[in-house]
Amino acid sequence: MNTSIHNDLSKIVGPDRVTDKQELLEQFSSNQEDDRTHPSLIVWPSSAEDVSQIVELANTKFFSLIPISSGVPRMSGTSTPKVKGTVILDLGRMNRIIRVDSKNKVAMVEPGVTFSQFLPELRKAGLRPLMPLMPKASQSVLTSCLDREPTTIPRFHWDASDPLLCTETIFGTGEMLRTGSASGPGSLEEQWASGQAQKNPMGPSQFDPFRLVQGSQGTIGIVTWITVKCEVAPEVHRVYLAGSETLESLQKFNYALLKRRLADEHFVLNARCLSAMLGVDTSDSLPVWTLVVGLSGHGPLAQEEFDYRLGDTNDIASETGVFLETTIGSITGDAVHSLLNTPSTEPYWKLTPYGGCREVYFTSTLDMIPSLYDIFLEEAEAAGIGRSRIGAYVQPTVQGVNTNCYFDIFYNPKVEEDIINMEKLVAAGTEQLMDAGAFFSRPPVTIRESVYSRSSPEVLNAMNRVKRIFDPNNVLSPGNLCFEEVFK
Amino acid sequence: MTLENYEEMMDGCVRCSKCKFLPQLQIKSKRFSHICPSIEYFNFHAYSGGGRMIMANALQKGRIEFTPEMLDVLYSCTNCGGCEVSCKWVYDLEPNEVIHELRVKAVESGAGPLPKHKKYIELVERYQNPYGEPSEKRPAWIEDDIKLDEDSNTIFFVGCTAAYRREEIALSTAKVLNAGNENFRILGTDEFCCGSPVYRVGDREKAIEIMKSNVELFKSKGVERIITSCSGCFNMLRTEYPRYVETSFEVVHISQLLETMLSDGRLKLTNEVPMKVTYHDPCHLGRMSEPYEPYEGEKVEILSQVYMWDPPKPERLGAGGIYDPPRNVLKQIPGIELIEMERICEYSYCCGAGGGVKAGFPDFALWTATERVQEAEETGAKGIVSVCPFCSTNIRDSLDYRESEMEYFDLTELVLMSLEGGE
Amino acid sequence: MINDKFYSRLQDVVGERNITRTPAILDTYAFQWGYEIESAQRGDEPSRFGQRPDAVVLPTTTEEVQTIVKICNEFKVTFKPFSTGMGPWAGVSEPGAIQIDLRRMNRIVEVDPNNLYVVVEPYVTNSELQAELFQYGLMHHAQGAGPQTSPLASHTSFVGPGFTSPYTGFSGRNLLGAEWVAPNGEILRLGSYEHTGKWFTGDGPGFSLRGVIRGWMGAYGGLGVFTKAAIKLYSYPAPKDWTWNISGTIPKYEWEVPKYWKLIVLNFQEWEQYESAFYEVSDHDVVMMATTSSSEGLAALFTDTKMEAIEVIFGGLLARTRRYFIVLIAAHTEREYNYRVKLIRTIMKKYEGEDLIEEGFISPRSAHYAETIRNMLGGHAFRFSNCFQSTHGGMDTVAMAVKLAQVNQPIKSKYIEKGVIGDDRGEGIWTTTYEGGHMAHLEVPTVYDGASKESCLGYAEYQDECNDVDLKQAYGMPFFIVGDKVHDYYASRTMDYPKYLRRIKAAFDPNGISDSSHYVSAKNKSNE
Repeated sequence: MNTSIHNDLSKIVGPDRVTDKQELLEQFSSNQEDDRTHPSLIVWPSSAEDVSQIVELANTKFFSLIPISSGVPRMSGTSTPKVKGTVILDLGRMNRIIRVDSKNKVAMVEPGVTFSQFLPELRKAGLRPLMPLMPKASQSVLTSCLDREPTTIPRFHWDASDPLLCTETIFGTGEMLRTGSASGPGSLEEQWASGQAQKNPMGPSQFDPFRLVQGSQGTIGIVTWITVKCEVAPEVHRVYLAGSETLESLQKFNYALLKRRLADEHFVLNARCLSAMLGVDTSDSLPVWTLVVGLSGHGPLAQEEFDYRLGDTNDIASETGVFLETTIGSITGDAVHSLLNTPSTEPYWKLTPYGGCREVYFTSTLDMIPSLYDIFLEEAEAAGIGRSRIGAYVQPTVQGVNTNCYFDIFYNPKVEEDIINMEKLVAAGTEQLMDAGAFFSRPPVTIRESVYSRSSPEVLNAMNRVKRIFDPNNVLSPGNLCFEEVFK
Repeated sequence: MTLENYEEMMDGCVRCSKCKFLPQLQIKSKRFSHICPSIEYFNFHAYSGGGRMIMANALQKGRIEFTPEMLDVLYSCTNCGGCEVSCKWVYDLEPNEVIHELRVKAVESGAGPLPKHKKYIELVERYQNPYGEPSEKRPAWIEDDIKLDEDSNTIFFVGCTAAYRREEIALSTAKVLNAGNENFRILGTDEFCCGSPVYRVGDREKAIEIMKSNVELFKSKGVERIITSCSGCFNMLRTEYPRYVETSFEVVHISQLLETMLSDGRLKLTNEVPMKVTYHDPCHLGRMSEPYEPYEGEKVEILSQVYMWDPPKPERLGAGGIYDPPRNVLKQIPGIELIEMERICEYSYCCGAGGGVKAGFPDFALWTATERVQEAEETGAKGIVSVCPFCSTNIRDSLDYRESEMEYFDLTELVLMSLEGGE
Repeated sequence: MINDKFYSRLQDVVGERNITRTPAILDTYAFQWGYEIESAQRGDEPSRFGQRPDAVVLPTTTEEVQTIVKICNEFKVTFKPFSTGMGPWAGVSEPGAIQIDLRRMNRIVEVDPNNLYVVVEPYVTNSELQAELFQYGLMHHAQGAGPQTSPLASHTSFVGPGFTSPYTGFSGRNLLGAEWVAPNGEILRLGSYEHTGKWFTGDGPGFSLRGVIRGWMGAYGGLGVFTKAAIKLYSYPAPKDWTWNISGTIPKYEWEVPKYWKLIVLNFQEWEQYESAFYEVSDHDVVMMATTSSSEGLAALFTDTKMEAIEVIFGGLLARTRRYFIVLIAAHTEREYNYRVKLIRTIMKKYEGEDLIEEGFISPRSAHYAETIRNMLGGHAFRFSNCFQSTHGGMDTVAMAVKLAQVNQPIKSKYIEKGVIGDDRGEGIWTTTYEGGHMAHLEVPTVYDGASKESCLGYAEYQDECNDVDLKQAYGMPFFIVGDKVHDYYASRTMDYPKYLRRIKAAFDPNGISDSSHYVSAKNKSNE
């Protein structure tokens, strides 16, 4: 069976682009003793046509596919096989930046384009990205968008789907659809000729397929390019900081500032997280919480824009009892600035303190975060993980409507007890957080059952109906989200 | 006009529903956003100004016919004219006129009005008033100290409701007129219903007979000027009569006259009346009293597909109602603090009694008044003031029903309380 | 025809008072603006009367709606819900169907002023919601259909540009969550609500079911009933002590304009300058409104009567207007205001533009500022005629809008010369940008005579030609590409999207009873 599929895949992509080398396969396996988690092959398609044929093959030969685009480390478990004989569809070699359109502030990229590759091209075009906080260097821009990873500038984050715009998607049926205005009428070339730039993510027509692919963790379709929304690069850009002992004391400021769309980067980190980010040894000298606010100006009145934004932001700060500074202790706004809008250096910053990090991330609202944080710290203590090993990153999203929050558990992967405690905390903490109102909108596979147990049968039924439309044989990433681990 | 004349207009409705609400710029809260009591109470689209216009259009086009259910819809409208004010903000349509015309057609075809309306029309014919009270009791409200000037060419047209049901309004009106040395007389037992209740339910033929006979009566009595305390009578005599009969008399509402008497110095308000009040604009004194300007003209295409009336057609938008005089009088009463409701003037909410609704649909009438009373209560005022005996009746019914702490006053009653040596 | 048993079952749900099958009442649900074109196309005289429903029900709770939908499934009766219900898509399309009028579901369920969302039921109108939100210093995105229409309808079911789109975006993108009675009667609550009791997001866990319910255009009421919508809110730029203060008498109302607001009409000689300036303004997220029309449109926006508009047009506006866009600067503070005004003026100067307001060619009064924020300006188009519709509508970039305006002009002029549509020299368009300037769309409002068969058919022909141009020359998908026939017409050049839409319809409406006339039917009816 394996040989036959290997041969079939070779015919599609060429023999150099399929492998069954164990050392390569192993990196996807979470448990060497469980052969279900061990992929059988890796295939590197080079075009959408390849992808489509591979998906069709998967439907006829009944093997499952897990699409991946980013490099290591893989922290979410999404790309770990759950079914025997899984083929890893590694899109990393489809890595063209197809188009950067500075006039319309949009870029079109293939799955393998990483932030490291993307950012210099944007800079050349006078644009800046809307991107997560210090992603791993090998992080795919496309995957980040498809995973609804929070970006650092809430004022540009209009919809939870941002900055993802249009996509080219191969569904689990092997059918291809371009989503949003990219669907047509007309080819991409014709659309470009008529002045379009694949800016409208909605549609085509009366459904939003991009919303079904985004957040689906590879279960609905495989995306072979996306357009991603960008912004004009600022000429003046500075970062201000405010320290605080509690999150609550920053609340009024945060809400007031978010409403006004004055700031660029706007988020809060606890000391553990900030020190890891900055690569400083200790968090002792840092305030419990650090608010990060970026302000900018661009265009013909760049300095005046910056001055008005700073002036109004400072007014809000003084009205709400927050004091914005360029330096807190040994930390400067400039130092934080240098870490924004850029990927992490190697090794990934979350792995520097202890070698391992497990992220617990959810969506909530700013007012809920303080109590959720307390709950998690208590659980951490109970699980034998010290409070000081919990990083927290609070990122307002959708222009302040909601907040994405990461509680990072820093642990030593070489110490078994640490791993056990970490997993204990993930299990218990997640439940506790959900009980207290955290919404795990992007549930990693480790907690999927727990999350979906709180969804109504009607919603699960609806998700399954969608799945049956776009991937009736369950060939795409079985076992992710609420979908079964078996073929249909 | 006939319904047929309105067909082109009716075809032009875009079913936007603006007729259900205040002119959109005037909406200050969700609670008091509606202008049309009928749609608010009954909810089916047919119960709105636009809905009734569609119904009239459907009838005109032979799609439907008069049925008891259809008549219920047609008559559960107070004919308050609010829909038309809101509609005309943008459109060249007259839903309230169409509703009236549909009622006329209902009567002409023998289907309308409702049995209760027919009954009071008979009473008007027999007793000169819709309450079936004897004529000789009409001036029974008069007290001895009221000075009447039988040589005056000015009459106080008391109206049926004030004469038989709201005598206190008739009395206070007469007293303030006396206090301001305004000479007047009354028609006494000769006074005949103005025709409003007959007209509003679509019996135009009988209404015109009443108008004619009243005009004759006024002529024979040498009447040159008519004072009314009732907004319904005012509306009929000033606004509707000239559409159908030739008139040669001036019509003044007591609120206008009070304003003049105060500015002349004929009335002096000295007594403190310490009270927060709010003022309810009667539809028939407000938007509905704006006169119709006679018009003859035709539609011409001024730009391709864009038509205008040539000569320009006067627009009856509701701006020409009587809004300031009662307010100006209230503001001159020492101690009175006027707090406005959200819905006032041309976008005032109806009390719920008009258009035959009080007789035909008393529950709906009471509900509407209660909506209005709640709006008044929300101002924090202790008194609700108006200038219409018919509004007074319905509002007072609601105050009783709600056991409200608010009290109803006719404007003349408050003026009387404030007069030197007044009550 | 529906049978008595069915009727009585519905009556048990809503009570006698809230159900009707009186023909006179039903006919008021058969009448819609726009039907006249369809009737003319059928060969009849133009008429706004279309299909009459067999019954109308007025539910007041989600559970009532659910029961009604379940009964419809049981009896295989087609239903069509509407909220404020304006337009040919609102009514039922086939005999034997019922209308679910959601008028009694009119509650503002929750306002979360910190987390910037509100939850509304179907019959809360834009102006009602706006009035309630101002007290929190907030506003929502109100769709261009007008202040008396339902924000829920637009956010869940129907496209959604508005006059404040540069500042408040597009309805479909502002929907945070929804309570949805699916066509089979299941109640679904999208996103965070069923996990947290709060409506702060409609996405997840996992992919977003928002992808099923509406898309760009919305399902036009063809995929069940939406009973609650959580809608994103925005800061209302006015001082804290400002209140909605209207004085004067109709039609000359005066409004207390918030301190840092200013309308500017930037007029440029050529499209090239216009486009460059529009792009540059769009790079800055500095305006509440950014919109283009014709000189006739500009006159209609900022006058109070048809006569006044005509006087303004021929009083110099027509001669002076070239390529313009109107911006409303609505700032929170003096600093913000000064920067924004200076920026707009700098851009205007750079491209050799002029401000038609400053030059005295058009003079918006305070009430026009109020009408702008209350989304009433679109309604002014009705002052010229009780008949207009829009062609085109594709949404992507400013560049596409500019090209489309130029492509459209000679086509429209052809129909103007035929005398079948209103004469705006082919220049009548409406454009807005969205989300700080990121997207744009262009539609072409077109006046016709609803009483004239020739004009109705002429308009229809013009619209067909516009659709054809958009299709063949790739100018995006027009707004009204809905219903089987038109979907299929567009399918071959748009990657055959209708097949997916049909699968969604089949999966969520197994009995095919949620009126598909302005959506799609599971089976390809246009090929039958």
